[in-house]
Amino acid sequence: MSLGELWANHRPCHIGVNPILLQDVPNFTICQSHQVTPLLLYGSDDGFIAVRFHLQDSMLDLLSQLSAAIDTLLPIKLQRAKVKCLRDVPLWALVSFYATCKTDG
Amino acid sequence: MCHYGLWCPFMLLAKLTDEHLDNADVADAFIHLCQPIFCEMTATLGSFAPQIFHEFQQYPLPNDAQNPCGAWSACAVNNTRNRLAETNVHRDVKESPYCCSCVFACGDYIGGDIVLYELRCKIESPGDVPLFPDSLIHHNNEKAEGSRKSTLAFNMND
Repeated sequence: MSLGELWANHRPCHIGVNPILLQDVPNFTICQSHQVTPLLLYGSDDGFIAVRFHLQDSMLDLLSQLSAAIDTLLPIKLQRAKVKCLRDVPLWALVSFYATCKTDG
Repeated sequence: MCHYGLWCPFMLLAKLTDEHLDNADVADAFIHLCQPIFCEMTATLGSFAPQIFHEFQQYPLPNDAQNPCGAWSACAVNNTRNRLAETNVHRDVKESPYCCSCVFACGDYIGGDIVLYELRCKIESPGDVPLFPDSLIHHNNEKAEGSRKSTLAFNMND
């Protein structure tokens, strides 16, 4: 696969992945972590496609802090979603009431 | 999923996401905490893909604003919450095909490898940070046992 092919095949909409690739997932190369050397992936046309690097050990503490921080982020979002739903209850009650009246004739 | 930072869907100039504005203090604190990782991601982007790095600098931003996520303008935060969650195979089609996004995962989990289909490879995710054109390459993460959280730094196309 070349970078040029990837660009040529690009569509700004969702298209399914090639079924042959889907079936072949168990045979994909597993790129194991390497602490120091980044893994560089180039296309057959030498175009740069991707790089994978490993975070330094000093960042591992930070990752656990981030993990705890993410736990606090999403509950806030859920709470707000609940408030939004509750706020909309009277509106939906009215809509439902009028819909019922109309159906009942 | 939460989106923090600047983005500009159907707008001339980027603005903070609604989720960021709703919880500005929390979002700012989270982005601040991520800065060392965003810096390392930005340094890697600048080293291996300087043209993309340069491209990112051209995106117009409001006065005095800086990209909050290193070279990237926004980030999406996911939390599987102890579900055996795997994402659907997808491409991020709203992003430019000439740009790269960068993702890192954290939490207490096993599995959750990132599969890059067109490249026919899987990346073991704990501590690994892949940087790849997510609008070109179909990708997903495999089932993860435990609580897998991830943060994806990205730039929107429009």
